[in-house]
Amino acid sequence: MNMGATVVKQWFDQYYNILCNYAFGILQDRDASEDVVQGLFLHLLEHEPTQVQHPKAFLIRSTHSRCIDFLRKKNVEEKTIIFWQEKMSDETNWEQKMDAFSIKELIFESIRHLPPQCSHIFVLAKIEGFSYQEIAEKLELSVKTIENQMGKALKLVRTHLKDKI
Amino acid sequence: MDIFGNKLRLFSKKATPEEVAQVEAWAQESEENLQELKALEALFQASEDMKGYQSFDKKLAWQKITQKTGTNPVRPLNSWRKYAAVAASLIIVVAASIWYTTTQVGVPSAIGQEFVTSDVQQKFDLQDGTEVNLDANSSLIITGYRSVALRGKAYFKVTKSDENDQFSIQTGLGKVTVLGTQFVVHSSKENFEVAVEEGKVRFDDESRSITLKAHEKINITDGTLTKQIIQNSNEFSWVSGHLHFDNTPLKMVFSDLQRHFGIEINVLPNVQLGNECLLTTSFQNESLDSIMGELALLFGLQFEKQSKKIIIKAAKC
Repeated sequence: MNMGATVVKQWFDQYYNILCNYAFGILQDRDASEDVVQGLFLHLLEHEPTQVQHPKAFLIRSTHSRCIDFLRKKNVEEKTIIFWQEKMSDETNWEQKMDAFSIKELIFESIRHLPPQCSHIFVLAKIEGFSYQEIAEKLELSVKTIENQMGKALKLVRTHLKDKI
Repeated sequence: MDIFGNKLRLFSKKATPEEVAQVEAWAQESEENLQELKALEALFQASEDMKGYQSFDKKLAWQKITQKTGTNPVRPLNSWRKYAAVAASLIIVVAASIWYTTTQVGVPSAIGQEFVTSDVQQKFDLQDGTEVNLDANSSLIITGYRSVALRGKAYFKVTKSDENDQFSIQTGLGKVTVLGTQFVVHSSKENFEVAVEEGKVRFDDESRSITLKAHEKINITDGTLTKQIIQNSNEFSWVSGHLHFDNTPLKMVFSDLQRHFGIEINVLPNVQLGNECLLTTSFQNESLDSIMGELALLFGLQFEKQSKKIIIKAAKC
């Protein structure tokens, strides 16, 4: 691989999952999200990536922009397009946005290292979005137990990510 | 008082004054504690907005991208997906935990997704290409890109991975790690077994770590582990639906049917199953009723069928 392609592959390895999740937040469609992000990296491979000054900001802003293009092509409601356009113009710190998503990615990756009940509760709460009350009912545990398990999960995730954040 | 729970309640603004005081006291004990608290809160905030976060297949994606540019020589599909390697068959039944229900069949799975079966088996694929056959009355939840937790019984055909990302199944009694093979794990309240069809598997619990090769199996009853060689070709019959008998004594036939259908077959004490009671036949995806009907004809059986149990009252062979 040439120099440029090596750099793109590095960005890809580090940010692909993050950017797909970011795109999913806008498009709510897995395939579409991947298409958009893959399109971005394809473009980078075919053009000179080393000219990009601030990769993190560039990547996430480009993803957002491509998502808007995608929505337009799909003829979604004008107000949806305007919504996401405004979000784009309102954003002042794209680099920070990428950093925030990077932490989510790291947290997501740590889930598999949690003990079973802990990881299950964490997933139900954070990924599935159930309230502690709902989780307590489903698992026939008290809300306090759920809170304690979540606290434990946080601690374990923190320990796991100590060197990475 | 749970310090972890108290911290969490503090962050989610649900702590009682006593809990807040306890955490603050802890934080003031040292600079290290104070930093730890700040870090935990930052993590808490970051995790507040993670609903629907999921994984995507990087390898496949990169392949698609480079195929379109021609920058990289295209790697053959074989080296990545399930077409290549020998898969691993794993049946795991985890005791004790209670999982809730959502069923989504045929959808590429993401972390947190859960599959539950009632009376019928269900087949689906995981994100890494691993095929799962979830037996009746079982449930499985995805806990990571290559890890699941399972309650009940399931057959896995695990895809080989290029990296050191071994597929793992968490059970109530211990963890099974796939070393790249085909095998079955059955873990339930009554029975814990790991049976390897092809390849290698490692089982770990608190006190031991055992590696099993093809045609080997372990059984754990009341904490005692025994290792055996698999001699019965019907060990994995419930996955394929194919039962094969070759001069098999009726007693063994009943034992295979028990495993295959997940029922109990009780032979009353007065029933004599002599050496002439041998069966030579194959059943392919036949119902229990149909098989029992045939056996009744062949061996003059009289039996009573209850919901999960068959009682053999008489036999003439």
